[in-house]
Amino acid sequence: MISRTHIPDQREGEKIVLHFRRHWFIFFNLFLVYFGLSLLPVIVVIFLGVNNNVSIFDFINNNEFVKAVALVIGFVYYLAMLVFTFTMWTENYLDVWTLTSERIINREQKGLFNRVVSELGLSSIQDITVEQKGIFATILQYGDVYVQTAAEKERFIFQKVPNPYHISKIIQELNEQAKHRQNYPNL
Amino acid sequence: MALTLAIIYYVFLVAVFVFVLYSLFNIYHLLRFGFLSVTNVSIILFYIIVSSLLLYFAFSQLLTIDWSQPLMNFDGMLDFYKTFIPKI
Repeated sequence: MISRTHIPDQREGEKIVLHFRRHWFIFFNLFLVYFGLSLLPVIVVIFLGVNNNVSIFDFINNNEFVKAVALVIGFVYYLAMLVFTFTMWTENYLDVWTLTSERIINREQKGLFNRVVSELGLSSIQDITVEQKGIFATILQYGDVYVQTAAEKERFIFQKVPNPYHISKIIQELNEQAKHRQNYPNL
Repeated sequence: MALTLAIIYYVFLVAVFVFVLYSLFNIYHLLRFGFLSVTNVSIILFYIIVSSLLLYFAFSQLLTIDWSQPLMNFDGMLDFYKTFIPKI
């Protein structure tokens, strides 16, 4: 594990201002989907039990083949749900954006075997846009922050981060400080 | 050589192997790239405990099955289809 104070290729005098990741509600939403899917077999068993003459549990217990197939399918399903939920957590948790006094560092986990680390100098920022869309985003205060540089590269996007206006304000302040340092290096 | 129910058990073992492999990949990533924090350590421990309990429960249930029986028992198949006929 890495320390919160560790950043890749830390420069002399560079200070960490803020670490942030996606809003908890994004993970909660996905978690609800998997939780709903986990309830699916229970609903199917209840449905089959209500609509048939023979109790589904009696039938499964009386036939060794059906019992073996039902148990294996059931356990494989729940193992899959568990590992999918954990993978989703890992992917969300390992997406971290770090603001330092000199740059923005983007660390993203895109699937289990694809990790992207990129950075952006604060002095090259031209424009910052904040977008809050939807009722939940407005109530729970999360949104997207787009950071545009002078270069014709694609924008840096912080997706579904908490307090996007606060983050954009910090970036603007750091941007001004960085430009000031660049214009007056001897001060 | 007759096919036994054990073939279903082997399918389950393959699924468990894939599950353990993916779990280890996830845990490796969290240990390698995650922050040293209470949340991270708690989630890893919680996952290990829950998955161990699920695997223990699964194996304890599967041990109650006689895996040496022939794969298909056609005597029970008619009853199986009858369960899907709705009660009128």
